[in-house]
Amino acid sequence: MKENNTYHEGMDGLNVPESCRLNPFVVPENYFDGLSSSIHAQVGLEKNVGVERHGFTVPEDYFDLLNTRITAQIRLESQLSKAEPWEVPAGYFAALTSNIQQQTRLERILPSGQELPSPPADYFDHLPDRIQARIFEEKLKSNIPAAGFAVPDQYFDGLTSSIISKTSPEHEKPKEPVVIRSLRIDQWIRYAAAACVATVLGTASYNAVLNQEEQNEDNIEAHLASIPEQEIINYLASSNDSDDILYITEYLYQPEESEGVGSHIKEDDIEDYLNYML
Amino acid sequence: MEDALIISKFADERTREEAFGYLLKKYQQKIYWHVRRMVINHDDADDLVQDIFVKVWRNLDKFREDSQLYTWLYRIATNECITFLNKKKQKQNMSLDDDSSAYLADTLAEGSYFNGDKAQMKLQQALLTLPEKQRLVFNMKYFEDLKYDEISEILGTSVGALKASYHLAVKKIEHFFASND
Repeated sequence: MKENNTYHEGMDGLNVPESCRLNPFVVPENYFDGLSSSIHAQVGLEKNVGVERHGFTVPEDYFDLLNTRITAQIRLESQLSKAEPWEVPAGYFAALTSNIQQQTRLERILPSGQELPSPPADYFDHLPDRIQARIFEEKLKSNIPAAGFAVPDQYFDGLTSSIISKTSPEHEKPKEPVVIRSLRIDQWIRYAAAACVATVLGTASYNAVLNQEEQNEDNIEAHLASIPEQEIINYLASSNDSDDILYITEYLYQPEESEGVGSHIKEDDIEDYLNYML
Repeated sequence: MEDALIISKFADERTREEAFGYLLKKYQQKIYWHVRRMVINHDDADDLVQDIFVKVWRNLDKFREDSQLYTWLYRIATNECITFLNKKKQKQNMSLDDDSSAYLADTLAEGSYFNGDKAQMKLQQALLTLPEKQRLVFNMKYFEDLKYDEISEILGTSVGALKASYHLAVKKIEHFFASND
């Protein structure tokens, strides 16, 4: 709204243009007509609502006692923190979870009340020997990790081509052609006659040998009966495989004691057996 | 390249040579050193390695895959070594029942292509006092770091027997070192 006042007096030529004096803002229709009544209504509402306008309440004397209660709580908590007399080792709780898990795993393998299976009878007798050997081996490996052999320079570069050249078809030995000879009829007759004679002679000889063998078998049985059982077992052990030995020991030889079998066998004999079995 | 892929490529004639090349690249050094430690001499090892891989070339298509490829290769290599050493013993009029490796001592003493120190030479001398197969087990466990299960698959011997054999070998070597100080 343009107002006539003395503000613009004495400022000829320096005034704002008339177009800028116009009010650019607008209001809803009939706004000012209802403004007065709405203000009056709001004032009346404020008077009636009073302290209940927020909807929340507090107990009686709440704020009066609040300070005392906060102070007492702080005192109680500081006393409680000093009350725990026990301590735990450093890192105890950090390791506790894994310890419990390990224990449960052990329980699953070996239920409580059950003892671990015992080692072989002579285990502890040979244990120091095995440990000593192991220590020597570790020392040996740390001092001598490699064999010490060398190869000519660039040997492996040429090895591949040497091998491949030997696998080429040209390197295969040529197969000798097979010669097939055909026979004439008179030659056939001669060979057939010779075969007949050989058959007759062979049959006669075989029968003669068979009769001799039957006689020998009786003698062999008599000889075998005189040889001690243990000698037969030792002989068979040196020339047969283990299946025969198992059969013999099961059906012919029954040890009186089941424990300590083999305890009287010398170490050299065991080693020879192991080398034989390798 | 994975062993299964080598085998499948070898089965195809078009890729057979390529597969064999990969196989050589992957295993030739391992097989060479396995053989060399047994036969000592480089030239003998060279001949044997070439024969071994030619055998592999001829028989890989028949490989049944009932074991790992490398155990199959080691088995061929081991058998070829033993055959070679037996022939060498026969040439020197030694009995095949004599399973010591002392006849290789001269080869070792010649020292061709051996650049090891005194300790390494002493260990090799100690190894040559062992029975052949015990030496084989020691080499595979000590130098090649194979597990007992793997050695068992290669040699067809029980793990228990192998452990006992290795333990005996270590004891003998210890005794050799103590008495040759």
